[in-house]
Amino acid sequence: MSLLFPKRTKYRKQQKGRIKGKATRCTDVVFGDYGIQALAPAWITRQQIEAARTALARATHRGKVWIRIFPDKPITRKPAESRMGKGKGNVENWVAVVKPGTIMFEFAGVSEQEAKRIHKIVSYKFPIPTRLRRRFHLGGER
Amino acid sequence: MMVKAKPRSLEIKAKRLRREGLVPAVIYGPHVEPIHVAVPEAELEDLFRHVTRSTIVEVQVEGGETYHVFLKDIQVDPITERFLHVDFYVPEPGRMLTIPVPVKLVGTARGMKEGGILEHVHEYIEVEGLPHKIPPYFEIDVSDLGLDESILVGDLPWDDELRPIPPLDDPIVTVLAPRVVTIEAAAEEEAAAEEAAAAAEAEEAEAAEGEAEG
Repeated sequence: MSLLFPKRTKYRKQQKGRIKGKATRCTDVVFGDYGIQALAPAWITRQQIEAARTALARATHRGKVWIRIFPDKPITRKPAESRMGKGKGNVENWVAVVKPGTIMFEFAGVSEQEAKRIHKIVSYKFPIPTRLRRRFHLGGER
Repeated sequence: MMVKAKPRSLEIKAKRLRREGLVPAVIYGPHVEPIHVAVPEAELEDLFRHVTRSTIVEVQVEGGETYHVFLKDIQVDPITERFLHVDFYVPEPGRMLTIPVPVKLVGTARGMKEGGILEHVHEYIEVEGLPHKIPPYFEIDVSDLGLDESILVGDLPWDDELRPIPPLDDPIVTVLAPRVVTIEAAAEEEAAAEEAAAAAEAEEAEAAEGEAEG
């Protein structure tokens, strides 16, 4: 799988923006048995997403992995040693805007002990603290 | 299962209730006017440890009636994982309702001992039925399930007062045969085909060389 980015965008460049508040969407584990949840706001680059995906795919062996975030925000940068002005820089990377509480990845097909080990491996790929979340079940349903 | 709830005034903010260890909740239904209540968090946690979404729970409102309800919605704070709000739904006795019923598997499938993989296709089965007929869960014994065998939705006991929403031929649980055997067989076949193709090519090349020399 190559690095993720949108096929087509309405506008080429975006303003920087600020990440405020907690996540209100993508906060529950809905596909797999376990989820990796962000505990701080961050821009997660497409390289970080790919690194985490690869690490998860390797660690879960025959398990299944879901990516819940997508890098749809273009990040621009001016060339080195260029003078200020002359317009906004070129698109250099794509990031996903992540708020605290967002479930970034989900996976299934492993035991709880294994899931904890996998989370530790994958957590090194992110610039923010993360937490392993289990799917919410009522007690009588297990 | 039973929980005790206190009626609450909407003038008291939900945040204050949560600080006091109470969880705001609402009781409503087709024939019941919405009642805003507050439930002790500890009592709610204890309740959630024992029930399913299709269990009928008794909610005793202080100084009021007792309602038989289903848990319709549970809001949880994604970061603190504390309960924020609960919706209790009072079903109308004679009216059909649609609800997901969890499926519990019991035993170890025979096919698993033979190397198969147990696939739990439907963790919940959406059912339509009268409130008193809806079970808290379906318990399925899988110990007799061999390789490539399934238990279907139609295998469960249904009647006019309790019907499944998914088709009757949908599998609930199935034991998949290990795929290693088929891969090996396929690999052997492929290898044989490749060998045959290589031999044919060599023959053609020889024939072409013979023609060129002649």
